[in-house]
Amino acid sequence: MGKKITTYVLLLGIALGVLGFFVATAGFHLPGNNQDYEPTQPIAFSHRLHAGELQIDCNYCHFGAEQSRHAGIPPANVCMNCHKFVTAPLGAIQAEDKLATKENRPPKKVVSTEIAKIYDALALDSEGKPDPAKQPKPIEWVKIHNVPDFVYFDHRAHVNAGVDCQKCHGNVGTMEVVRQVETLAMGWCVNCHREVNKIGVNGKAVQASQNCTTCHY
Amino acid sequence: MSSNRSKTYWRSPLEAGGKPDDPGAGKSDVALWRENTPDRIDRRNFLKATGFTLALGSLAGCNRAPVNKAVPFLQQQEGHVPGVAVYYATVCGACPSACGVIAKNRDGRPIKLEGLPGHPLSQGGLCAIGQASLLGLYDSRRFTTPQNGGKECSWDDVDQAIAAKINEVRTQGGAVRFLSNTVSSPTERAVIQRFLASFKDSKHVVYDPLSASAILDAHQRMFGVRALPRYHFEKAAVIVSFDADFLGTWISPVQNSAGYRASRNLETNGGNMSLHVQFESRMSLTGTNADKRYRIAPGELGLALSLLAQRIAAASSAPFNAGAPGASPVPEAELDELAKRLLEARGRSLVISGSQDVAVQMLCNFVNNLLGNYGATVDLSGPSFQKQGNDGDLAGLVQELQEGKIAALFVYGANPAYDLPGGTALLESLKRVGLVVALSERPDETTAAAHFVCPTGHSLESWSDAEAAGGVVSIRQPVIQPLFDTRPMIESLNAWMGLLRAHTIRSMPIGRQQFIQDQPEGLTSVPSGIRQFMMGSLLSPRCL
Repeated sequence: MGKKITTYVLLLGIALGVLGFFVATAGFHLPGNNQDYEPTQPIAFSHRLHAGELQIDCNYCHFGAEQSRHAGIPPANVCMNCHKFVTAPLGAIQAEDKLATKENRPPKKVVSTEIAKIYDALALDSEGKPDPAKQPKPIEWVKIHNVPDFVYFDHRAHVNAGVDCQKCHGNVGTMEVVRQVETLAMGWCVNCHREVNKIGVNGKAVQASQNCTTCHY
Repeated sequence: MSSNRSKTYWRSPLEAGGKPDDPGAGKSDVALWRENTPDRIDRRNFLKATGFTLALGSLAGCNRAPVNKAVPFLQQQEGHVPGVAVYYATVCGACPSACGVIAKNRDGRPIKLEGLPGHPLSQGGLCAIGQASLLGLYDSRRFTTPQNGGKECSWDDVDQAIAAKINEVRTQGGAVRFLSNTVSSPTERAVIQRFLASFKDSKHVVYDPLSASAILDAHQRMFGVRALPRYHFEKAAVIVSFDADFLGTWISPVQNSAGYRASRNLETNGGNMSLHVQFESRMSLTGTNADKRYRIAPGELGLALSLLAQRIAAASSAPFNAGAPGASPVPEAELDELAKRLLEARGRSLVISGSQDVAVQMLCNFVNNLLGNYGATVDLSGPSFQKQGNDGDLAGLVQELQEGKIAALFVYGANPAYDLPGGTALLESLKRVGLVVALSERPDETTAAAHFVCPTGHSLESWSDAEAAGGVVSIRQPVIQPLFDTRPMIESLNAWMGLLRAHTIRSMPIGRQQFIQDQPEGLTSVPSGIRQFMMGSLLSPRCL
C-alpha cells in the first residue's frame, strides 16, 4: 500500500515537472530575440484608440517612414496639432460641464493626466500657453523594435514598395500597449524577401534583394 | 642519457649539460613539470569547472536586451526628418586656401566634409587636412569659455578687463601688434585694420608656418608689388619645380592638383600631356608624380636653377651673369634638353621653387619672365591671397618683443611659440608685454602664455568669407550653432571697440545681416548674384 502511494506521488511529480517545463519554455526565446517585448511607456499612448478607433494614418505621426531610414517617433509638436484642443475624453468634459452647471460656475478646462505629460514636456500650462516656471523636457520613449547590431534597416524601401506596416509591426491598431509581434530575426527577414519575389507585395511584382550587403554594410 | 654532445635538441636538463647532482637529474620532464607546477587541477575538478562555465554561459545569454530609449524632438523644424541628411555649401577653414566644401549635416550636426564641385578654385577637391578639420569641431580639448589668467570667466569680465587695458595703451600711445597666420577673409582683414587704426603705433604682422614669404619678397623687389601670383598648372605644358611640393603642401595643394590633373589629361588636351620635371632633395608626393625626378642636395637647388636660367638667358639673348656656377649636379645634356623643352613651350611653361631664399625666387621670376609666362601661367593680375606671411615683419616683431617695446599683443589663430625657431625665448619675451590676448580655438603653447584667451570657435560655427584669389570670393556659412561659449574674432574686436550688436554673426539665420555690415566696401564690387548664391546655397542631396 505504502509503495503504491509513493508510485502515485512520483508519477504526479514527474507529470507536474514535465508540464512546468513546457510552461516555462513556451515563453522562452533564443538570445537576441525580443519577440513579445511589451514595455511600459512614459505616456500611456493608445495605438488602439488613435490608429484603430480614430483611423489616423500611420504616416501622419510616423512621417519619416517614406523619406528616411527611420519611421521616427513623432515630435511633441505633432501631438499638439490635435491635443492643443483635444485635452480629455468627452465623458470627462461632459461631467465637468454638468458639475459646473450644478454649482452654477463656468466649467474648468479638463486635461487628462496623460495629455498633461505632453504639456509638461513642452513646458506649457493647462491652457496650452508657455509656462516660464517649467523647463522643456524631451519625452523618453522605450524603443521596442530593435534589429541586431550591424543590420541596417531602411523604412523607405519597404514602405515605398507597398509593404503594409502591419506586416512587420502586427496589428498595432488593436494594441493598447505596443508589443513586438515578430521575431525580427534574420531568417524572418530573408523568408519574406524570398516569398515576395514569387508572390509580390499586395499583388505588385517586386524584387527584394537577398544580397548580404543589402542589410549588412 | 646520451653522451652525444653534438645534438641540437635535448630532452632533459642532464642531456643539455646539467650536472648529475641537480635535483631534477634522472627524472622525466613530465615528472619535473608535475612537481614544479603548484595547484595542479585534476580531471574531476576540470570537468566541474567546465560544466559550471557552460551552464552559466548559457544562462547569461538568456536575458533581455538592454532597454533602448528613443527620444524625439519636442519642436521639430519643418522639413527636417530624422535620418535624412542636409547638405550645406560652405568654405573650409583648415587653412587659408579656402576650398569650397559641402558639409553633410545630420540632426543639426555636421558629420562629413567633401569638396564642393562647383567651386572655381578647388573644383571639388578637398585635402586630408580639410577632411579632418571637421573633427576639430568635436575636439574635447577646445576652449569652452573665455579665460582670464588661465581661469574660466565670462565674456563680460574679459571684455571689461581687455577694454580697460586697451584704453590704457591707447592713452599712453604704446605699440600694439596683431599677429596672425594668413587671413584669407577680406572682412576679417578689414575689421583688424579698423581695430588697429584706433591706436597710434599699430601693425598687423602676418606669418605662415609653411612660408611663401620669399616669393612675395621677390615680386616686391622685381615688380614692385608684394604679391603671390596665382599659378595656372592647367595651362602649363612644361612644369619644372625646384623642391616645390605643389601637390602635397605648397600654397594650395587642392587647387594645384586640380590644375595639374587637367594638364595631364590626354583626352581633354588632344593627346598632349604636360611634362613635369622635379628637382628635389627628399621624396615628395609631387616628386613621385613627376615624369623626371632629379635627386639633388638642398644646397645644389639654387645652382641647378641658375644653370637652367643661364641656358634660357643665352637662348633668349638676355644678359645673365651667373659668375662661376660650379659643376652641375645633373647631367649637362639633360639640362640642355630641359631648357629646349621650356623654350619650345614659351608662355605655356611654369618654373617654380619652394625655396625660402629670395635670390632663388628672383631667379625663378627671371626665368618665367624670359619664357613669357607672366600673364599666362603666372597670374599677377588676380593674385593668390593664400599666403600673405612676411618673414621680415615677423623678425621685426620678435626683435621688438625681445627689446620689450610692445605694449599689447593680439595673437589670432597662430601659435608662434611652437612654429618659430626659438619659441621658448619668445615665451620669455612675452612676459614683458603688458597685454597678451590669444584669439584661439584650442589650448597651445602661446595661449598658455597669454593673459586673456578669447576662444574663436570652429570655422564651421560662424559666418565668414574668403578671397583665396583675386576676384574669387566665397562666403562661409555656419553649419551648426556654436557648441560652446565661443565668439568669432570679428565680434571680439567689435566688442572692444564698443560695437557689439544685439545679434551676433554666430547665429545661423540672423548673423548673415550682421556679417554683411562688417564687410569692407571693396567687396561690393563682387557681383551681387555670386554673393547671394554662395551665401544661401543649400544643396539638396539630389544636386550631388
